Amino acid sequence: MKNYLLKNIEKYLILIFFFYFLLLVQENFLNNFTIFSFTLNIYLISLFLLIFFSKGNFGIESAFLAGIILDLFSFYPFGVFTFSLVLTYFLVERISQIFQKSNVLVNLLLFVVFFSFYKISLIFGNFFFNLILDKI
Amino acid sequence: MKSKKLKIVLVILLIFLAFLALNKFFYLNIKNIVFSISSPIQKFLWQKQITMSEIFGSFFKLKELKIDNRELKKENLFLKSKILELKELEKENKNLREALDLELEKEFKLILAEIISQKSEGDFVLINRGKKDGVSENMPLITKEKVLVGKVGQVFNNFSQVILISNKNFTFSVKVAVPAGRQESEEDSILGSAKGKGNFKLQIELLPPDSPIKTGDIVSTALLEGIFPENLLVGEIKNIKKSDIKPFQEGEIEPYFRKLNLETLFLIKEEE
Repeated sequence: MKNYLLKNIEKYLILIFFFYFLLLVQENFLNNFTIFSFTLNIYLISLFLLIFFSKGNFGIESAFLAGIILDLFSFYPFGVFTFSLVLTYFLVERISQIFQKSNVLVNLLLFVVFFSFYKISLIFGNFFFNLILDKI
Repeated sequence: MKSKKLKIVLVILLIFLAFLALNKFFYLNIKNIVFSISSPIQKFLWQKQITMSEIFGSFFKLKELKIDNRELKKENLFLKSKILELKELEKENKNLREALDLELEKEFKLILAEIISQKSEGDFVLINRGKKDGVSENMPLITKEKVLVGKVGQVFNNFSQVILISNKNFTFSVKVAVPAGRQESEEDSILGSAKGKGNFKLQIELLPPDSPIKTGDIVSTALLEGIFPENLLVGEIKNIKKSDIKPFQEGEIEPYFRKLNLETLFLIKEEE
């Protein structure tokens, strides 16, 4: 486990800086511009592309690190984004196995599922964490 | 196979417990450190964004600007005549104050603040003032033009979360100023309730069905709930929906804070 972590430390650092850079662009530029009441979420789009065009454990590692970065910079309790993104990753990965061929339409559909489930799990995650934190 | 699954469950449980411990004991401190490290870059980028949005905004809104300019010229003439009237009233007021020995007008005690970033999870912004600067929950945030931006949510040591007025579930009482020619009763303003709809949208509700409100009427804060001081500018009526079925009128407000560059802002500490 230790060796595995040491070997991949460079990869994790690059991923952390990449997500931090995306967060800066998102929070300081894109969140202020709306097109037909929608905001372009470059952070989620990049994460989706990273997850579904990578192999092995890279997808889950990306989802986890992206969640950690969002957790650090958001006003939600720690863990809400991490759990939401990891859960979303597992769900969409299962769904993607149903489709034997990958094309633009399938990827678009997967992104819609990814985005929708992420939003729902975020609401529930926030509610769940706040509920537990209120009790303890 | 079973032991592998058990390991995964244990790891998830451990991570979950670690998150709970972080939230319970270190939440405010960690966030404050993270914001402190990142704020110089974010502040710089936010200021660049303001300049960029000005350039892009004027490029895409050339036609709109021409119309606005024409309207503003008309409004300017109207306001000039109003200034003359007000100057007369000011003189009268001053004399009356002296005669009645009244205190000076109540003023706000302000804390200067700057936006650092705008969050993705809703209509929230992060400002560079916190507990150390005397910020506390629910303090109103305004622009130098006395336009209401939002109120303080979470307070960290050096930073604060501001909930924008357009945030979902944000409700506060407002009044709509009705121009003299349109007033049906003695009241010059109509009370209502403003509700955030998310994505910088604001709705106005609970307006009496027969109130003569029109597009462009100015909305400001009312003193009913006591969260915000009276007469802070909120926005102007974008549209009004009248329905025979509903007991009240409702409509959309175009928030003024979206039209301004949110570079320098003020937190209202208290009324002296």
